[in-house]
Amino acid sequence: MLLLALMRLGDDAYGVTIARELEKQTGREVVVASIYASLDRLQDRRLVASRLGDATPERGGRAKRYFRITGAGISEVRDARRSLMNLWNGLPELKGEKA
Amino acid sequence: MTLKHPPGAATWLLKHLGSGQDSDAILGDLAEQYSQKDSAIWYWRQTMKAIPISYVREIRRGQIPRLRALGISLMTIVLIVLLVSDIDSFWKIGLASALGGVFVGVMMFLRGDSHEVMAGPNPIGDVRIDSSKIPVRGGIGAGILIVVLLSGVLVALPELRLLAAMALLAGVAFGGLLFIWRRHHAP
Repeated sequence: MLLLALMRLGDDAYGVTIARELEKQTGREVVVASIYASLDRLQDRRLVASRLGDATPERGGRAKRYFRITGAGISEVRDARRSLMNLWNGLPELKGEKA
Repeated sequence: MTLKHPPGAATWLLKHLGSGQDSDAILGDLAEQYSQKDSAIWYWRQTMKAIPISYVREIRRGQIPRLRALGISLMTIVLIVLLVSDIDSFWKIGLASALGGVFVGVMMFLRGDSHEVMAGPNPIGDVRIDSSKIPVRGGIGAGILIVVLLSGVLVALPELRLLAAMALLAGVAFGGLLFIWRRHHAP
């Protein structure tokens, strides 16, 4: 889900925008620190990369940390999508709608 | 436009109790969101959840500072002792030992998991003896627990003082041997 959010946000992916995107898509409040913890693990696996951005007064003079998905991350998303599609295709039709 | 300042106490707690390389970025993100949401409850909820998350991250990466680890260990022991202060000293020590063992075991388990992720040779300073590795920071944590527990024995059970002193000496000797071993065999 995080990797998809990074893909949707493009160059503007940092803590606040990622949290907003996830809250918009899931309808649940997101803990900002948990985003960094998950991105940290993804960065260890070289699926995402990060860089420090600019600081603004509304952030108390603190720099933003921008994230972007790497080539390996995009491959991972494709693999996950393929697996999910295979799983969905194997399901019978759900009540009232197609699987 | 006037800037809204988030609750100072919550910021102070996250800045001093929370840690990790992203703590500045997290504080910045929270300040930016606070200026739009203007909800102190939301800000407190975010900061209080961020502190334990930052500890789990540090333990997972084996980066928890020694002094903080010592503080957490001592606070945990004090809390345990306060919670079980109405039971017999013998059982108190036994319970504290068991909980301490579980704590150290969990830390080692989490650190073991991070070995696969971290790159480079011997990234966290483990000591290799035969085929097993002893994490240095885990060893320090275990050593602190042993010293505290033995101090408890010395105070509460005077008849065991000789045994406790011998165990303490043995622990110091073992630690010294590990230190010498590491100096001569570290890659």
